Amino acid sequence: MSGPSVDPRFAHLSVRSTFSLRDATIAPERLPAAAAEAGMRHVALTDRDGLSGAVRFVRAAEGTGVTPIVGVELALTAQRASVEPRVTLIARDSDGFAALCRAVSHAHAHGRGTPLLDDVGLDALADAGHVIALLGVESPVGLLLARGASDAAATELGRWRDRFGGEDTVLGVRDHRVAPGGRWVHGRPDPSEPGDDARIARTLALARRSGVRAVAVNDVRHERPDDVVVADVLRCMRLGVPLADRHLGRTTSAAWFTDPATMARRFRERPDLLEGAADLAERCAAPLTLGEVRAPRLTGRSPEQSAAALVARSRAGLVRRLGDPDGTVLARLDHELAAIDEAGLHDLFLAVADVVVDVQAAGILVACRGSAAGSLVCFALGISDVDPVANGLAFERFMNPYRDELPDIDLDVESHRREEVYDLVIARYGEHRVATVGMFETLQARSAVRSVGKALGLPPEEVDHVARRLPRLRGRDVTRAIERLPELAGSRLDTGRLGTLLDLVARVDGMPRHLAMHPCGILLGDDALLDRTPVQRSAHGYPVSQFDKDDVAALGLLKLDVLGVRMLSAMRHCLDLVNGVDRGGEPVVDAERDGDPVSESGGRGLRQPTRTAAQAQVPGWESGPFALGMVAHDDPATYELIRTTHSVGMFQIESPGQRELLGRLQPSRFSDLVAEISLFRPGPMRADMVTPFVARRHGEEEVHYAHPALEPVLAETFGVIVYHEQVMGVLSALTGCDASEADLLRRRLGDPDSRRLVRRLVLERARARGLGAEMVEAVFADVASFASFGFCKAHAAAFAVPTERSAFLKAHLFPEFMAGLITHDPGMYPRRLLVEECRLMGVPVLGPDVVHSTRDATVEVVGQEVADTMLGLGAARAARAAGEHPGPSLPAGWSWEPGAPDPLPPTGRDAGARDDGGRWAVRLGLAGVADLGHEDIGRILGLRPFTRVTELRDRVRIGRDAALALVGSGALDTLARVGQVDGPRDRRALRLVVEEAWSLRGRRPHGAGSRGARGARRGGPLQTTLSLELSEPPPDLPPESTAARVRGELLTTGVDLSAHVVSFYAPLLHALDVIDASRFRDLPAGERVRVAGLRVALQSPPQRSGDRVLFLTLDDRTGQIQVTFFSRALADCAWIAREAELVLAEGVVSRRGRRGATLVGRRAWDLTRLWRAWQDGMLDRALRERGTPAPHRAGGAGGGTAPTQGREAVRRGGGW
Amino acid sequence: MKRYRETLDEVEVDDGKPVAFRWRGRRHEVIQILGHWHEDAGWWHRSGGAVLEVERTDLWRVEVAVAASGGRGIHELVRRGSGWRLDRIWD
Repeated sequence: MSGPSVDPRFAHLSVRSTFSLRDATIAPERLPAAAAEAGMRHVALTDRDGLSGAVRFVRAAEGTGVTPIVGVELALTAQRASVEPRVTLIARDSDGFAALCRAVSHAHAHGRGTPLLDDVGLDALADAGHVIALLGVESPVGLLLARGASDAAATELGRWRDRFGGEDTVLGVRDHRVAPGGRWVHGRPDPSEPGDDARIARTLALARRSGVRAVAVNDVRHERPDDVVVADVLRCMRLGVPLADRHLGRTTSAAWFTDPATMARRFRERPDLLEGAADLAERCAAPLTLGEVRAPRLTGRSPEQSAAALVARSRAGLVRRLGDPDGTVLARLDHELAAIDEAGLHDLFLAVADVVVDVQAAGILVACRGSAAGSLVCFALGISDVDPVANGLAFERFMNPYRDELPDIDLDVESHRREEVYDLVIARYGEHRVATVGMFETLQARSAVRSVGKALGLPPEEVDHVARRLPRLRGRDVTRAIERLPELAGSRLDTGRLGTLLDLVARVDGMPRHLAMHPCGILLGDDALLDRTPVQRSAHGYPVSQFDKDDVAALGLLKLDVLGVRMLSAMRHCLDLVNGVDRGGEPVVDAERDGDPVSESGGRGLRQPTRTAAQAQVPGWESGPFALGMVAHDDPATYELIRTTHSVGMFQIESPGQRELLGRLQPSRFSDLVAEISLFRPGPMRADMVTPFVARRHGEEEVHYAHPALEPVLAETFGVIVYHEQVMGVLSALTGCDASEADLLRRRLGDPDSRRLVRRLVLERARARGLGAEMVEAVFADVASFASFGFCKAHAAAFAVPTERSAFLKAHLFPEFMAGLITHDPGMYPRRLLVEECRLMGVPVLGPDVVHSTRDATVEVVGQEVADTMLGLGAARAARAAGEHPGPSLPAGWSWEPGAPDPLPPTGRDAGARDDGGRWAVRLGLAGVADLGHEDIGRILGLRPFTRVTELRDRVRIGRDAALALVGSGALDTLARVGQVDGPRDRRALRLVVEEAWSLRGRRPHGAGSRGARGARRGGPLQTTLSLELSEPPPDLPPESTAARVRGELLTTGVDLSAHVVSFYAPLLHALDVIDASRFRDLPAGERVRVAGLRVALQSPPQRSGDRVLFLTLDDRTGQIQVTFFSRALADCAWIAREAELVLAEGVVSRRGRRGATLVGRRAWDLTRLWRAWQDGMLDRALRERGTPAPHRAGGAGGGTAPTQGREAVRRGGGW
Repeated sequence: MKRYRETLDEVEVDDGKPVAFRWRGRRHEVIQILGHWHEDAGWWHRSGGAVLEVERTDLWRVEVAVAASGGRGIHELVRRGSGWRLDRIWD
């Protein structure tokens, strides 16, 4: 033939990507490169139902020389059509893209999952213009042509031309070489399939007849021909059907990303169709400009009005906050306002301030998170609660004029009311200006194995076998995983099928599966928001952008992050109890207890405040209801409590590691908490920045500055670089640059290459300023090494606000705060430890009770006798009354000073005492009882009071399992008069009654309202039940042991209410000389001891040395003990530490700082196994199983039974 | 129309298109190609190796003349891989 032929001009105008969601296999990011490799200058992305791939696609096209074109393929509402017609709509430019966004949102508004574009949407789209309608095989015209209805097709085409205009209406011609009759299924051809020859001939005839242009398309779904297998699997996964001929939606594998030469061969006789496609593509421009920051006009004010409003509100706010702000503060305000003015971001600050006001007005706690706390404007507007001037926080760390991005303002709100916050934002700005950020769930190894296996029709058990044995890997590691997993060899799938399965899993890995709502991002925009992003509805009805967080950042959309934080919910619960506010809207029908401060059980009116300002003696609370705003910084009582390291329940500082750090750091003011939070990060911990910091803080090491200029920057942290702000400050002190530039330099320290550049720049500038090169070198080396793991001080300060407030609540409003924690469970510990914390502070915890409890935990006032019984103090008080020494009768860890009226709890702090002789108690809520549904509780609360247990069956309609759970939890003790003369002897007896009563109901004949059933209920069985309820259990039944009762409580509530689990092992612990936590605290270093307790936390943080270390926290009813197992001991102890719930550990006391006593564990045992061995007289042997036993007290096995099933039961904890 | 599904051994091909073939001992010459389509077999039917490939099938509908008798007919030839088959005949 002739010489080198020039590739024909062509561009793909119909291409689906992975964002067609389980349909096609090309990633949008790959598309521009694929087009460039094929020699195309344009390529279109036309996903089905959405535009989610658009931003990545456009971004990926940058620098490839390929112009990205964006379109969408949407289904149309159709009458009487068996196949829903679809049309491809292509944006010619950014105006067309805006129209597409609107059309996609409109189509999705029709219903979740099945977007349909109706005539209204189509007309709006056509009116907007700048959009091309590409009518292909599945279009209304294409479907009519397939049926041979040429005249109807011509009429239909005319309608499209009338709408979109002759230039923008195009017929797509596709040649996949489909045979007439298509794929034969069950030996029959498909009569609706005319075959591609006929289809093409009819389409070209129509084009000629109507004068509409026809162009070549390929409806691309996969990049290479062989990828069609993946497309087949994806389609079957989406449809939820097994792979079979009739489900493919294709008969040939021609829908790959064909190059122009291949297309030219297919359309050998009509090269003009390729030219047509290329010409059409040339008419289109990129639909998006990325990287532009836009400040939306959120408030509807003009820029001048906004600027004036921001100045006025900031100044007024500052006066409200600080009274009479000084010159420094006012200068800082002007500086920030000027920067905001420059960026045109007035509306952002005003809008966020308005959101905060709305949220607060709705009674929802809100806190500012992150670097926004560095802004004085945020402080003045009430967005943040930290004074950035007083705390040395940099505005430039938050909003840098040199950085071309919108500043992030993140708000924390009460977690269980986050959706209310969304509602408030939408109510203020309107649906058309608010959308939540999207987030794509992707196909991941395990779930992908299941779906691919299902599509392949493999036996579900075998697929499950494979899926369960796969570690949580990304799918593309799956093939490697199989070589390393001997367990997989146990699969009954042959290697061929297993290989096919895993190969396909690896090929679908990471593909987007489903659009979900991002957990916190909210887009705020002006009226143009919906021109920039298409939205669809979430399951809860919220508008969700089809773009994810990276996309919206690239688009320059304004995002507000609203995070749900459970600690805020817990604090709100606390405040509501204190102030007597009932937000639950629960129908509380409890007339007899109204106005009765101390009832028979000690309960008090549910909506009465627990305290008033006058009697509470809470610092800062002078009158009215208590509010968090009254919490002042640096309250001495708060920090005294923090220094004891009893910080369970305090935000951010409750983990075992943080408690150890608190012990060493001994914070005494807010700024110490800021430092604590910043130091407790992997980087500073690994680099051991803590040791010099602590030593210098306590004056044990001299503070030294490399240069006097650094002193003002580093003095607050004793010369140790802790904060990003200090890195900025040091750089600025060395070079003389301003804060904005210093922040840019700091950001560049992370990367080794740019670090070298920064170093040279710093050295040069410092020399010019006359600073000694050696000193500068040394300081820079310091800065560079700390820059990577320093922490933003504004972040830490923002965190420290809720930390300090939660500590304040714990110090001053302990029972209410603990009720909040128990209800919302915000921290790292199980609920039973929170209950234990109450006891350790002298506050008894009353179990859930259908008579007294609400849904959530509350606070009650009980008489001293009740409190003594609950805390196990009865015997000691009696001994003392009799003039004996109460010591031996006190529970473990308690003490009683000779002159004191009350004994002292193990923590040394009694938070339960009241002036009136009563004592505070926490009452658990019904929500913590297993098997009891949300509606069950609502009915219980609504139908109270009850006089007999069977009312729960007949009126409340509680199921049998829930009724038995109520028995086990003790929630029926009061109602059934358990242990009273006229009630069942114990819970076991009550259980028999309840089982009987509920099984009678179960035997009742079924059938909708059958008369027989009702008769039966009125007649015999119910009578029997009533008498049963009052009858005594059979006399030969032994009484229920405490262990059995606790077991029941653990199983139903996860909390050992009647007695601490460890207390059952007391005889053995005594025999083994086990030290309890309250005594352990004061042991000298180096002593070899044993400790025992229930595991409450196990952590394995990364260590500088790379060694593995386990931190085990044990709770033994007198407090918690930290046990550290270093790598040497791990071989012996790791298994026990991980697997046993009750652990006995032996080791050496280690002390760091004032409070930090920990045990360095050498050996560990499972306490329940030791107990059994002891019962069998085999204790020595059991101890020997791990090394030589230390001597233990002689003496045989003690009596009694321990709840050895504690392990199972404790696992169930957290079901509150 | 009659179905055969018989393997053809000798097929002459030009640029992928069938030109002539021998069936039941008689040489058939292709006079005219009436249609050419693709079809892919269900790849999941085959158990076997981990490498998944789609085996493309070409369907050729041709008018042929039998060299010996001069009789004519419409035949459907199927190519899968390098193998050829006669599937259907319309006389």
